[in-house]
Amino acid sequence: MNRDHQNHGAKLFAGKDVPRRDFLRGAAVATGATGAMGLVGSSVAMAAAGDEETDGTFAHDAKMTADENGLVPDATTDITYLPRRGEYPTPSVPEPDITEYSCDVLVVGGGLAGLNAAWAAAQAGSNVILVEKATPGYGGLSAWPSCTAFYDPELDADMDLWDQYMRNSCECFANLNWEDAWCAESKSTFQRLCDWGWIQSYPRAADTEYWVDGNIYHDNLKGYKNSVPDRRKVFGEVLDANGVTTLDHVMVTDIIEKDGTCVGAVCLHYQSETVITITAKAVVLATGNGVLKPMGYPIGSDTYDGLWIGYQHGLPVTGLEFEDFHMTTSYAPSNGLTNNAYPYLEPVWPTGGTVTADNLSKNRGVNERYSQCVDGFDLAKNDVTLMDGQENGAAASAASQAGNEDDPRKGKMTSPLPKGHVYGAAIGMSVHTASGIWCGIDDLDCFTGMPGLYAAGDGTNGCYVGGPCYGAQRGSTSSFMSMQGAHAGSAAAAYAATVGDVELPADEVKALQEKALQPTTVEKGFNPEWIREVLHSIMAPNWVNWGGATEATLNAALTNLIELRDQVQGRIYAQNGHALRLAHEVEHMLLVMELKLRVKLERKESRGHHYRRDYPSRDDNYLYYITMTKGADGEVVFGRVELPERWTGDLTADYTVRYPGPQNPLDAKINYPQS
Amino acid sequence: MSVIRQNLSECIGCGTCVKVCPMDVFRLDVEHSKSVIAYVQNCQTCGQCWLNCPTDSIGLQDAEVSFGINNGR
Repeated sequence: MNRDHQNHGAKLFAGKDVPRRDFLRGAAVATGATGAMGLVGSSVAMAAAGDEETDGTFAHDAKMTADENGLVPDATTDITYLPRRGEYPTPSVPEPDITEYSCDVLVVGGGLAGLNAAWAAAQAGSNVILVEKATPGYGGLSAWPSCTAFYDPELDADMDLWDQYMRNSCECFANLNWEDAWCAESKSTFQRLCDWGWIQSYPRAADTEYWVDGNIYHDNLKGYKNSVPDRRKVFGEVLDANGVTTLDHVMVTDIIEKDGTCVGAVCLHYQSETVITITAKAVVLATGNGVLKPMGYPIGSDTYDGLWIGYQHGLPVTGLEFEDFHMTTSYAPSNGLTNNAYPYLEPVWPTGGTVTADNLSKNRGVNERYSQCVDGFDLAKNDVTLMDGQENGAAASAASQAGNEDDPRKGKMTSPLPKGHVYGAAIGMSVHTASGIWCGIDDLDCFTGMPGLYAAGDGTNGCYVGGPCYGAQRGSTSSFMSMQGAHAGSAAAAYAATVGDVELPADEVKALQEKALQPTTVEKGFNPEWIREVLHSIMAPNWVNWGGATEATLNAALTNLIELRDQVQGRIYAQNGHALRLAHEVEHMLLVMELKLRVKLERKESRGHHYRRDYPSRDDNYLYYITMTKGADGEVVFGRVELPERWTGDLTADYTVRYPGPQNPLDAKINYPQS
Repeated sequence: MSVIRQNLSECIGCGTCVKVCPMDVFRLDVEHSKSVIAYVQNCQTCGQCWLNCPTDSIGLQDAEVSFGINNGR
């Protein structure tokens, strides 16, 4: 056997029926802090000493490594190498049999909002189709919530105290109309999720034999997984039980608009590069939030699809200036499972409720996070055993500790999680429920203003239920978006019942079908993965987002972004169905990141999760929602939404009364000298 | 941040990884009854595939996989 280990390529693939993977010629690997060294070109597959025949599989190849003696067998079991071993060639995917559909209500997105929208519309008697880019329940963020909150009118604080809590915790910016609806309906929503089987009781991981210390490399994660039900499959079961036609692995690329009315959508079965056209009397967009690269937080399939559609059709969008930055561990920074294994596996604990005078101003941790960024991170925390305390996440609610014995929330908590102490997870993601299509102060129907079009859920309906901050309560997003989805589905069904037969505009549909496949026709241009990398590096630095931007840093980022956009617009190529989905997604990100930078320039103050180092304090001259609408020449037109007095509180009160805590270190120095 | 093949011979071709992956990383080779890690560079290491794999065919590594993509072509 030729032991020329200089010529890695030729000797890597000794097995039968497995061809060389061409992509490896260009492969490069960036490693995390675990420092898997020498990966490129290492571990040459050779026969074990004695040159016995292989059987065509790779189980018998010896892994080699290097020490001062040269190449030696690698006896470690630590798997930190490229998937260099040959996979079978990528098979083609057959086209779907059906490429045209018709329905009363089309729901775009199979997360919590979409599931509840489809259920509500079906319950109202509509014929419903749900379209999802992945598999309902397993895509986006809806696979990952750890808790669900509800308000109990008999056990929890009265509405005056609740209002005050929401104002204090959400910087006088929270939508109290939606909060009222949630207080009235969250308990029944919670019950519905229980009845569906999405919320069940079983032991948390830390109380089982599978638990070692919460580090996923130590615990028996699969053992725990096999001992608890999988709540994600509930989504498909509920859809089937309600007669919803579900199209999985289909991506909506645009809605069809006719005379200002939404009449359906054009979609892609992207794996086979097939266009599917759906006629619908009403469409509910429930496409989730968005992110540039997940990097340690599992939201990568959310790519602002619905927000892009709404903006292109002239609807106002809002909330993009508020960033939901996430932390990840420094020892496995881009490994989403490290930080989120137990939120994925454990039961969804009930939480929330019982606001007391003590917790009237929830500590959002915003100032603490910014302080760490400014002052530097504590490198002593680079320790795989460091965990959040027992009182973590869902446990951090008053009802968990102070609720009475009959309260189902009492004593509930999740297992401790690894302490995320490095920033940069989920760059580009907006604060839950702040960003999306703006539907109006009084709207509770999720109606966008375009007849036939509704928007529901985190990142799609910009309703600000948590103001500019990460929610006033842990667990409120999952129950809120379930409730909101039901509102949208009911409203869509009611509207659809008033609509006669819909005929699609043939020319418009043809143009949309061509646009859907356009990246496959581009011969010379740009790879969507490269565009995503460049976009990420423009937006990731802390001086653009959560670490505090300035006029100069935002304009610098915008200059780079505009140059990128202008060069790649219409020239994003897709060599296969997978890349076709990426091409559309990256087009959405290009728009949204531009809007994000522009509105951060526009909002010359700091509030919630929007931090400007050059305007470090809240300025009530900006106590309004900013909207952005596509102008006649394609330019961004800013709008302003004045907020009701009940939401904004007493404008004559002192700054530190209106805002009990500093937003960032500079604000602390200026306005909170005692802290 | 990527999925990795620990042992291809353990894969039974059940298709679960293909179904649960949000990022379209996998394909199913029906003829050989094996999954294919087709687009590893888009993996977000959420681990759903590994958690749901009935054998030990799939693993996870912390290294991020990306490819040398140039400016354009």
